[in-house]
Amino acid sequence: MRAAAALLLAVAPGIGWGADLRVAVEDGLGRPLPEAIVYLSSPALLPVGVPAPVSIDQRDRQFVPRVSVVQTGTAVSFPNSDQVRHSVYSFSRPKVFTLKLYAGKPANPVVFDKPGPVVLGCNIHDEMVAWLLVVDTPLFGKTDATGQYVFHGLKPGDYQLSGWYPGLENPSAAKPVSITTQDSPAQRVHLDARPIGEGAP
Amino acid sequence: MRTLSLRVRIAVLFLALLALVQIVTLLLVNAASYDAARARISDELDVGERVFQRLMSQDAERLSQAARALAADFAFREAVSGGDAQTIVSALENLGSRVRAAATLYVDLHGTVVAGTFAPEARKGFGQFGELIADARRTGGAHQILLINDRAYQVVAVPVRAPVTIGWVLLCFPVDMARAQELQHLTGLDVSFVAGRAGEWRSLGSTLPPGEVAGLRDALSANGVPTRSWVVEREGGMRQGRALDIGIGTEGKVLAVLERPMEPALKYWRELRSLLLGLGAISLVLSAVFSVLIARGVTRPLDRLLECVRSIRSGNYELKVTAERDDEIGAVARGLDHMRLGIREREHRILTLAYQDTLTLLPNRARLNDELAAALGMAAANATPVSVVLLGLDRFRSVNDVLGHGAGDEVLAQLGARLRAVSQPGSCVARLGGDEFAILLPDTSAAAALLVARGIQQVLEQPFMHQDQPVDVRASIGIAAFPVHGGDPQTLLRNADIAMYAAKQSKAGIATFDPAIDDAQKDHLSLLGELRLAVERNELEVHYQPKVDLGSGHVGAAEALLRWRHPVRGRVPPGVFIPFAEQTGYVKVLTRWVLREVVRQCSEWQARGCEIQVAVNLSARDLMSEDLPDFIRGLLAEHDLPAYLLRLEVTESGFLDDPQRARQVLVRLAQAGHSISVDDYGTGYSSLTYLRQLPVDELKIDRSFIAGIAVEPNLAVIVRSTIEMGHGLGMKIVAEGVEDDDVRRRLMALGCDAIQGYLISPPLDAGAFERWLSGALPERAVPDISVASEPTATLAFGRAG
Repeated sequence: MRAAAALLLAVAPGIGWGADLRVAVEDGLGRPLPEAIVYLSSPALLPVGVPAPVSIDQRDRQFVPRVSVVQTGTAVSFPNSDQVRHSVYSFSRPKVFTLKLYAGKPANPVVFDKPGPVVLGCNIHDEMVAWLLVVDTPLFGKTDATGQYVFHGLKPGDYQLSGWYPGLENPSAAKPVSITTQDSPAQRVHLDARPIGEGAP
Repeated sequence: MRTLSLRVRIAVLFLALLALVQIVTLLLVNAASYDAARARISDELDVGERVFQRLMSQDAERLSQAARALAADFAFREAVSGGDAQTIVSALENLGSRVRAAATLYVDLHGTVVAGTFAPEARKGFGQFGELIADARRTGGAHQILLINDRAYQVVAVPVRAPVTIGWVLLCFPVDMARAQELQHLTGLDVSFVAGRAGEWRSLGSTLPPGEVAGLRDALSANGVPTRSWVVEREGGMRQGRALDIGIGTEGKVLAVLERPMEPALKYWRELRSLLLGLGAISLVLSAVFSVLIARGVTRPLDRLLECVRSIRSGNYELKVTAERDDEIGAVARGLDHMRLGIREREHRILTLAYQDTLTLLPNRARLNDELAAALGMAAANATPVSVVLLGLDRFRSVNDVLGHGAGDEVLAQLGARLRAVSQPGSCVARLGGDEFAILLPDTSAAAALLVARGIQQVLEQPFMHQDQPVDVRASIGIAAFPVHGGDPQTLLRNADIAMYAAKQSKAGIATFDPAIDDAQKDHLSLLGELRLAVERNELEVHYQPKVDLGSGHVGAAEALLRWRHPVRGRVPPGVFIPFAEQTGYVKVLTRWVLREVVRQCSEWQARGCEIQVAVNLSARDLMSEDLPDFIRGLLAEHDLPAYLLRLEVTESGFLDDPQRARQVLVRLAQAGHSISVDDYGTGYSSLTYLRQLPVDELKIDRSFIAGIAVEPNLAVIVRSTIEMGHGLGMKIVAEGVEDDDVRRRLMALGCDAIQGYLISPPLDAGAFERWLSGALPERAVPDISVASEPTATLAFGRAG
């Protein structure tokens, strides 16, 4: 899997007190890539304190959502909506954990305090898999079905734009993006990845 | 030898045919069964190969399953994904031990080894497994046989999921002796794993005996890897096998060699071959025995027959040819036996004929020769004499002619019987042929033999009887004795013959051999040769003696007389060579010579106007030759001489030997126009009555009667009566040997027609005769006899001088 990823950024001034930035992500073949993660980082951004908790549900032996992105320090809960029990685990570097077999909502959420991609699985059901990207910024989003995501109300300033997609060991190299009061032109992020389910290259 | 070869040939032919058939059968069965064995093993190898491949992949699958299950273990995954190297290795060890893997590795998604249960020094061999992992990623797992650190491993790759694949676990299972044995157990084939590359192969494990492993290795190194399957002869027997390419590594390839010994399959083939060979040998031996027996059955009787044939060939006819069989050989044997009896009988008869005279049943000449030789041998040893008495009948021919051959044979048979009757014991009486008999007298001198001869003559005085008619036969007997008259049978018989001839000549009846006779005989022999030469050398000439007609005194005829002027001996008297020529038959040549000369001369005279009738003497033998008249006719025609000018004279004895034939010849000559005289009349035994039957017109009275006519009245009476009887029969009478005038006058008085003799003239040669005729000769001393200058009348004449 290629570590290098081509990243195209277009900064457009947002509406209101901030400008908007539209980012389009493409896969290795130039196709729009839904469920890709994009995020902006900037040294100017202040820590926001404790981020709001996030939950990743297990429904019909599937993680929902399948791809998530959280800020470092976010507590993620893994409620079990199925009748069967699940045992969520991750051997990924940012957080290695195992939730013993449980039903309903587990007692404690898992706090992801290190950035990086995390692969989540169920110890009981090998086919269950979910991806979670832990980033050190509050500015992140997941592309829609058209492979696009729009950042709203960005304060003018210089940002680093990165993209990631499940299967990639690391996010793409950060691309500097300047945000003015005007909406920036749409940025294109090219990720050397394949949509989930298409199999490995 | 011949039969032996026949026997051997039959046997060899049988055996060769049988051996050929068996060899061909053996070769065919051999080839077929060998091919069958090969095909069977080939099939077994096919099956074995499929089983082998299946087992290998099943093994891999099984190991893969096990590994997959283990790799899914949460704790293992946890350890591998999060643990330190030591933890990972221990986790791998744990996993590997569960499936008894030789080595267990954890590699990342790119095939790079993260950790493994190998010794640090072996680390080098376990490098990259990129290809295997790439393969595994496509199918979710893979297995391969790899050559690592000189050892072959079946490497099984299974993913480690967390839950996505985060790496791969590789389990290495050894491909070694144990594996080979296991596969051998299942496939029934010898399994060898070898590794290396062209020219340098090594064994990784084999179920073959150690020695053969080395052989296999060496064979691969030397000959390369056969493409498909092969048949090799190695220590331990024939093997059929094939090599499968099952793995690869940096150090070369891994081959699985599957082999199957051909021995078990070939065992049936060998057994069959042994069986065939055994059967072949037995049948060959049996055939040999049978063919020898059969050949013997054929050749043994043949040998027996051959023995009989040899016996017959050597002259022994007593060995009976027997074969108590009804087949062809029996028939041949019976045929041979008939032949043997036939030959025996015929030979007996031939021997009898060869040694016996069939008419008299006396021994024949051949037998006498044998007996004589034996007697001489004995006599020489004992110094005793042996005599041979040879007996020949006189005038036996006239008996045959007058009385018939039956009578002659009867006389001979009776004579034989008489001779046998008077012969002494120990003597041998034989008939030599014709009218000749011989008596062999052992231990008898010539003098004693003379007595025997006289005894024989006495016996012959008794007349023989033919159809109750007495037949008078006289015999002349010659005697020769050993050792005085000869030392061998031929000489003795010849001398006895000479003596007998002398006896015949002298009319003495019996003569003992006298060497003097023999000399005369020898003289005769040389005379014969010279007489022949005389014709060629022109030593002969014809003289003419005139014949005077007493009535007219004319000389119209002459007698031709042969004269021989021998260059050494001088004049040879006719009395010497004429009788000799008569004996030998040469007289016929002389007569014809004289006839030719006389006819020529007469013809010449006639041409000169002088007709002289010339008389030529014919011998007894001339009268026997039936072509004489034709010969004379030819001569006359040649010289154009009329027949009346040639007169022919015969003696009484001339036709007494074979009167019938002589008469025929004379009749033909008379019919041809010749006049015929009887010469020397009065010395023979012929009667005038008999002469009357012949065409004779002239009698010449023998000189023995004429000379004494003037002084002896008895002779004059005989001559007169002869003249009268001759005239009575219409013949003219001529007197021979007239030497004085008294005789001439007396003859004239007796009525004799003509005279011939020295009184008139001795025989003269042609020239002298001509001169005499023309009156030139003084010898014409008879004045009162006028000789016509033109001789027209003829007179006959006798032998003169």
